[in-house]
Amino acid sequence: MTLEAIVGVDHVLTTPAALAAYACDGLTSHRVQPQAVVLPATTDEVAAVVRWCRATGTPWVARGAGTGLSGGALPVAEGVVIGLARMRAIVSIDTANERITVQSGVTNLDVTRAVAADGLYYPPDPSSQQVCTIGGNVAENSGGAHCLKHGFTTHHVVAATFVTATGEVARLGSAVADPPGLDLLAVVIGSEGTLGIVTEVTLRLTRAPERVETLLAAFPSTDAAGEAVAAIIGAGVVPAAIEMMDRLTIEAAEAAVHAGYPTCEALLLIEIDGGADDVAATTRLVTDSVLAAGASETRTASTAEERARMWRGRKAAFAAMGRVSPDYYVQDGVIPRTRLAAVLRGIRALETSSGLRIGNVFHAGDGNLHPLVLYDRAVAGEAERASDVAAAILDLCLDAGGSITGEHGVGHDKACAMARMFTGADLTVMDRVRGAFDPTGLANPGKLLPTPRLCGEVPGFYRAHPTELAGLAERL
Amino acid sequence: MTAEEVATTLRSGGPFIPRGGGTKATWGLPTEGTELDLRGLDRIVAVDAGDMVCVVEAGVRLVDLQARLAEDRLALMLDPADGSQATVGGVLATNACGPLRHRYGKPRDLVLGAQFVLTDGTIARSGGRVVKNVAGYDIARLLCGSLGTLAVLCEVALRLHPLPARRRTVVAQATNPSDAARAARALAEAPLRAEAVEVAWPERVVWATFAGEGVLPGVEAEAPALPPLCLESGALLGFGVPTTATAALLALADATRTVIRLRAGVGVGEARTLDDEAFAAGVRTLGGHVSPRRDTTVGYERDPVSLDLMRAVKARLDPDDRLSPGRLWPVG
Ligand SMILES: Cc1cc2nc3c(=O)[nH]c(=O)nc-3n(C[C@H](O)[C@H](O)[C@H](O)COP(=O)(O)OP(=O)(O)OC[C@H]3O[C@@H](n4cnc5c(N)ncnc54)[C@H](O)[C@@H]3O)c2cc1C
Repeated sequence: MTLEAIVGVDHVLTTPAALAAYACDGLTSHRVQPQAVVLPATTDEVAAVVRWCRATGTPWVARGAGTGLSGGALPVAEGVVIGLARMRAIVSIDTANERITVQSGVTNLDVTRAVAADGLYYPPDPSSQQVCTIGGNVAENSGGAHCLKHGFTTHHVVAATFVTATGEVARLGSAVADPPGLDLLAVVIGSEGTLGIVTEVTLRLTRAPERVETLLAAFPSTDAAGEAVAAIIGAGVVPAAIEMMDRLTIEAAEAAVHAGYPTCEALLLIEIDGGADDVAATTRLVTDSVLAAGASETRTASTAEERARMWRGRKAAFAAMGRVSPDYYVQDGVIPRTRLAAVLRGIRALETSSGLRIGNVFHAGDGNLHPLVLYDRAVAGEAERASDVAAAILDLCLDAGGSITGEHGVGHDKACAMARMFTGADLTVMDRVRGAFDPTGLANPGKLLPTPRLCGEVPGFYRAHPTELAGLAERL
Repeated sequence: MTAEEVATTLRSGGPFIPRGGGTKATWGLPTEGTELDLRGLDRIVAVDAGDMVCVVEAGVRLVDLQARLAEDRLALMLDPADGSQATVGGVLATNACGPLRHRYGKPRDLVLGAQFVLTDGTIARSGGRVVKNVAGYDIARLLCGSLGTLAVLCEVALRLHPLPARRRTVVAQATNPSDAARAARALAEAPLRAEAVEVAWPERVVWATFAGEGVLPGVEAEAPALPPLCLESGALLGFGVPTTATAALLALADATRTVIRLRAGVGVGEARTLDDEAFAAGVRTLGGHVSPRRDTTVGYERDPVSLDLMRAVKARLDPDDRLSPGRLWPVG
């Protein structure tokens, strides 16, 4: 059986022009042309393609919309890309039980669109939600502004149809809560296409809140904004979202979309949702907190229109950086929320010492930083310096007790950095889990865990040899 | 007790059955082995009140942790029944939950990271101690609900919530199953989101708790004092049903002489039944599933391919089947 026989000649791409379009994901600084791009339309086709890969020993990389920012969907030169963009059907909606089942190529926003008329929505809202796919969201355990209160992808996926790395089809989880047995979905979510391919996903939907209030607070310094975040969290309030932007990103966003933001060193966008009385009481509390922390100005938006305008600048912030700098690297790290002000000062110090500008626009409520390191690859040495600065930012996060990634994933970009966060023993156990799902070693090789070729040997990281994985040999 | 000591014990033979407070020692299929008592892992390592995260050893009793957290007006939002002896590790390993499940989820939803030991003595960590983190496979969540079959949890980082300044309870007495189902749905859909929405059957009590400001549906009352399920006779099962099946489930309870505690907004709960086979069959007809917990011959039903994956995961982490063998599927 050939790939063409499985998916049809039109859905196997091999021309250089077509392959070039799949050579990278959102991490455009890394490009690899695969042997072919295969575009299956059904779970059975995906399974047949994976079996073909297994039979021919071909590595494969699953791909949704290719918006990932860690090179998770970066092709393997001797392998194929399995693109899921044709799998865009909404399979079923059960409003009474608050469930929707979609194929993995459906975009994040289309899920909410499909159920909004019934007063329901899907809370995780990555800024890329207009284009990124649910399959990609599951693979990355994606977050978004509103995940602070409502949880991440892992809190909303209840079941999935899953093509294993050996080409079989499993039903993981259940639309009905608490299926018996091991919670395999717990590790499949966030596994970045290294364990198998998700072809259908059943999501838990949430009832739209009675009232939503958005508050914008301007601050004279990022320190003051950081203290305000700590004060809100410390006051026992869990808003739906707390986002922070600094002066550089505010100005870029203003120039791009004219959101009407005040001129200031830092601003917070805080959204509060729930029952009307509770929202009113909480908004008062939050307003008191931000004023006490030194906010120079606050504004509120209560209508959907005003809210959309307030969010417009935040949502456009990454893209707006393109106006300020020819190139920029989006870092993604996490710190405890009590350390925001201190770590932002550390980032400022890196800006001064490196001479590269760094913008900050991020999910402050859950401590998820997105420093944008601006550079110009045409200037000799700047790309390398930017990459050093980005690495130094991760060190700040780890020193503060945080993580090397909050939502963009490890992918290719941070596979080596895993060894800075985890011991060799930790990584060995992760590799054992990987081997349980993928005895072939063909599923997105080189991603998520460090490889000796790219990262050197990690002390204590013992990797099973492929023959052991296949059960053909045992180390004694 | 330390993780190193647990590792030394695990390397020494087995099979072993990890044990916390012993309150859920019968959950799952029957297993045999030497008890590995983890109550010596009893340190509350850190409470970061500002970040609303804590790190605790697995043998800490849940009640002791809650008492410590209350000093900072915080709580771990888990309230499984028979909680006084339950340890944090045991609650996680069983994914045990109580009424608060409605609002805050189950243990796997609140765990941020873990340190654990494999039967070969490997001591490893996954996750971290921040509320958001996607670095590496989320093994800490996989261990939740694994009934002590994959690894021994030693230390866990958990997400905390503010203890509500004020909690109010609404109680309704239902006359029949469809009444109860209607009341439960109304409570679950109230604009001020409930923390818990419960149906107790055959007591015919529907109750909900609310935190925060706002008008409550119905009448405010004291939380009802319901006898815990574990004191009664019969088989104990956990179950999951579609939330639209509440009325049918309660009718099934009447027909099978079953006592039920149902998280009506989630569709999960516990059942004490004098006819476990009929109750399990009825639940499956409703599109649900059951899990054996005590004094029952009811087993598990699963998709064969995912069962193969579960076995493969177990085989990689515990190759000689020395941790709670047979608990998730019959040995062999
Ligand atoms: C402007 C911009 C803003 C962003 N904002 C956010 C944000 O706010 N929050 C956030 O979390 N992320 C954000 N991202 C990152 C990205 O959008 C998310 O990671 C998204 O989930 C990726 O989805 P995708 O469909 O593009 O996946 P891809 O990039 O195609 O793939 C991502 C990974 O998932 C795997 N994969 C894809 N589909 C499947 C499948 N069906 N089964 C198994 N594995 C699969 C791939 O192999 C790869 O490892 C942003 C990106 C951009 C460009």
